[in-house]
Amino acid sequence: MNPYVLSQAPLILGFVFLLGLASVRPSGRESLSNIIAILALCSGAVALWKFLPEGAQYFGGAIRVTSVGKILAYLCLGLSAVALLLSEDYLEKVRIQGADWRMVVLALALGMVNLCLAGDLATLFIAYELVSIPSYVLAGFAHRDPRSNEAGMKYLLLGIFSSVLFLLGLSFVYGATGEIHLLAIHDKLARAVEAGAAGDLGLAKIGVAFIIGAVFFKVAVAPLHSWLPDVYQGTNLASLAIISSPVKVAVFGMLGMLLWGAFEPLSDLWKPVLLAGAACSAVMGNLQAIVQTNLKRLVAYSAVVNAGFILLGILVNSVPVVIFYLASYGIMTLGSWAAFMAMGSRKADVDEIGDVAGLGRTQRWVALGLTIILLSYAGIPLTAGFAAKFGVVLEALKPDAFLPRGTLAVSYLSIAAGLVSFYFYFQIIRAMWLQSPPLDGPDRRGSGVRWPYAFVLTLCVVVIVSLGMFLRLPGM
Amino acid sequence: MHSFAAYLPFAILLPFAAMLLHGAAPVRDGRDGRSADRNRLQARAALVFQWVYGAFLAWISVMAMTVPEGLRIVGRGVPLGRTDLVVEPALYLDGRNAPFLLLLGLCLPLIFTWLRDRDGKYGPSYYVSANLLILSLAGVFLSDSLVLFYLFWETALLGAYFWIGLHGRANIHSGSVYSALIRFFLFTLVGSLPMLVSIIALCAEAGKDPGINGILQIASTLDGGKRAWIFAGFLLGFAVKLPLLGFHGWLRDTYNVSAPACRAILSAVMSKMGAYGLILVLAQGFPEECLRYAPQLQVLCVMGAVYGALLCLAQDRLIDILVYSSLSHLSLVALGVFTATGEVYSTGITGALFQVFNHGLIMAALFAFDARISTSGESPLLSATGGLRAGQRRLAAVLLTAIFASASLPGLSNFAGEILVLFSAFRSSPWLTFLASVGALIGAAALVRGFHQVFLGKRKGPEVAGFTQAADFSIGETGLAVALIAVWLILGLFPMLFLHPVEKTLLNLGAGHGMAFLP
Repeated sequence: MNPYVLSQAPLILGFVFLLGLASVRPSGRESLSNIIAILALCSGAVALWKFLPEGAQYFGGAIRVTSVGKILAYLCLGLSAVALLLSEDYLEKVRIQGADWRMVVLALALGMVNLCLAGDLATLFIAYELVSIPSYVLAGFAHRDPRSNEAGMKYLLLGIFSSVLFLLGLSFVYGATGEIHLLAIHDKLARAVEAGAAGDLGLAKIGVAFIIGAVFFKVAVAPLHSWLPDVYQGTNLASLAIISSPVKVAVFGMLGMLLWGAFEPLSDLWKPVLLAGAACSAVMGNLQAIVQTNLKRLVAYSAVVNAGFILLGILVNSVPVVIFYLASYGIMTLGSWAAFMAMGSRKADVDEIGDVAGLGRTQRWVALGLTIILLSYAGIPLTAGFAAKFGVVLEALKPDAFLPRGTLAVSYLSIAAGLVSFYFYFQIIRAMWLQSPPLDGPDRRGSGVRWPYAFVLTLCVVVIVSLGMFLRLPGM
Repeated sequence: MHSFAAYLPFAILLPFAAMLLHGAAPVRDGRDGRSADRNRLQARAALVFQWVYGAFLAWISVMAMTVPEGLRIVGRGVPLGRTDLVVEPALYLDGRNAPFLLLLGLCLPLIFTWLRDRDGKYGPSYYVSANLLILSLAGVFLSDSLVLFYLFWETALLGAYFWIGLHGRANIHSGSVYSALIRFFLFTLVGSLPMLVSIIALCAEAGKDPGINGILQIASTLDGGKRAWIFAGFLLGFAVKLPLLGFHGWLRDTYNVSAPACRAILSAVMSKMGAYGLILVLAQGFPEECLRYAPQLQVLCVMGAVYGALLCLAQDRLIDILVYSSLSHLSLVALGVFTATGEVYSTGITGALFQVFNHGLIMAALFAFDARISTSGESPLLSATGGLRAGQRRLAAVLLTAIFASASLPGLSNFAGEILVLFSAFRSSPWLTFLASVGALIGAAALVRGFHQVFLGKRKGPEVAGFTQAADFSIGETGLAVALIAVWLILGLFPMLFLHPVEKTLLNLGAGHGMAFLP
């Protein structure tokens, strides 16, 4: 049997199992479906490792296995598995059918893996849609909640816009080069650039610009980020854990692989664009975050800020730095959702900053965990966030790097604008430690933290600190 | 490697362990009798720890000053992300940074004795944040790798943030704790983030972490423009921390809202992080830039010295006078650094190092004494009080001596340090020296006047100004103060006890590595 099919089998089988489970026992136990889904993700990763050797191509080059793609796929699957662990308890609280929800997550995981393995334009687009459509569903899953409906609808409408742009870009590139395989496109573009064939390149450049624009939209790079806070605010935390962490990693990874690979000859075009995106994200993300009082919106703006750093990393052509950044960003985001879930009462989630006031006294360990995660976001040494930012800026300041003018200034700006981010991250830290619990707030004493939240939060903090101490991913 | 070097990590690990132990204790607010008792017990344990730790720091610093080549310990290198940048965790201690560590070691037992928690009102979080600050201070002074240096620089800020935020107190003179705190926090970050960029730039140029002692080597290979930017990033970080004039906006309110012990450590030791950077990073790593921008920086320092002193005159509370006299004196320290001239070891640098040590000890004493006047730790209004000496004879005596020390009375150590700085400044510009001395004089006058108003004259105050006068110093506390005064006196009469090991280290560096301290 084709090894590619074998490698995808666990995810597909898991999907089918869950489909059966959902139709047979619609209100069955949550943990069974969760175990099936997590097993599917883990065995998916194992199958990927076992069946797909690096450099292999399948279906005439439609699937191309690269080392970077594989690492990114592992990362996406791992982050999704951790997010599923979180959902164990939470879905009951927001009254979502667990089996249905996990089915969608498995479909999404399939999309992410293929996004990392895509070898031609068609696979790329199919995988892109397979990531996008389940994301819309996840955002709007809690359909009894009007805010979730709003989030789902907003995400759908704007996401479709991004998909169309992406498809348009792909077809322009195809039109310009007449090739569908990414490797062949690279060769054609490289030859055209060498020959100075302006006519062919014009169309290709427009195509690449469209693709970058679509991805910027998807991962919320400023100034195309205004949908993100609304979607975050309305989406339930379990779905958010998927949308904000593994999906971001997959799409950023795809952007990196496209730009380093097929569109590398056009780097004169895309490097300045990335630079502008990074600068805008640093400034707008930070400044807009100042006035936020909603926790999810704050994390959304911090996602914009981090997107800027990731773009800088892609810009400086440093694969390990980008993967390190993506890994630490994914873990930090998951950790913050775990902390928010642990802080919620049985009835409601924490919503505003005021809701976490005084948590240092009532839930000391959760507060400590979230504090470490926020320090990592802010970039205090000994955390993954610091190591990641340090790596990106270090590469950007390397004297021999071949970089567009202004890279230095933008790196400086990104760090300097971080001053503002310290302010808003410390708003949360202040509320937790320096303020008293509100008198009318939910009584959290003695209620304890459910084990999935405690486990995931501990896991994330341990990973964050050890990435910050050892400063690199294992095996890289 | 000298065998004592193996003890260096303990300077950081001991407070870290203390921090963990305090952190494991259950939360107590000290409102009921039982929890106040437990808090008092904890305060005693913390006091014992600070004495042991202080003695350890003093011992290791004095040892390091007697070893000519200094102590140094290097950990295993960690590659950062990619394999070509290696961060080596390294600690060092020699005549240049030992004064800073010695200062920390002497201040901690003093401050924690004079300002110990008698009422049992401080829970474990007080000591957790205090120890975080203390271990970071030790870390900043000891680190010989820039990444570690930055790590401790930021954790010091975190320690101060939580110490002030959790145990600070709002008063009518400086508004809410948080508004003062966030200003302090953001001010410091305005300095430390550009410093981070400079550190990353140096690492990128070197391909490894060059360490505090390797900056000169890397920086001398850079072109002038780039080096100037890196220099500026560092300068901003240190200028805010010290602070220099124009970067002092956080100073007064932060000290006002802090808990008394925190305030004393901030002024005595934390402000020395800035001085450490000026001496060990800027003067040592960027001699050309120091020389090129010396005229402007000197003027800034003298302006700070005069302006701080003038502000002292306008204050109506002892604590505010102390705050601004601190601004004035630290500007003189910076003046010493920026007037250092082209010798292997220069009067300016040694004077600045000596002043750092003196100023730290004096400020620790002054802030502690000031907080002991009233039971609440608040500084009384000068205009509403008088004649407090009747109830606090011993406190008044040692406070007056400390004020004299701060005013550079000949025979006390501060005089020796200040005169070295002024000698160095005189070579650059007699006029600036004249202005700086006038500033020092005004500051001294303001301090003495403040003492006069509070302690002498007709008794008035506590009843009118609404505070309760605290009990006088005990015999033991007075004895401790007298011992400190004896240190000032000995160093004032025999400054070479301090200066000799420092100059020897500087000479050693100049001769041994072919790198003059300054060109």
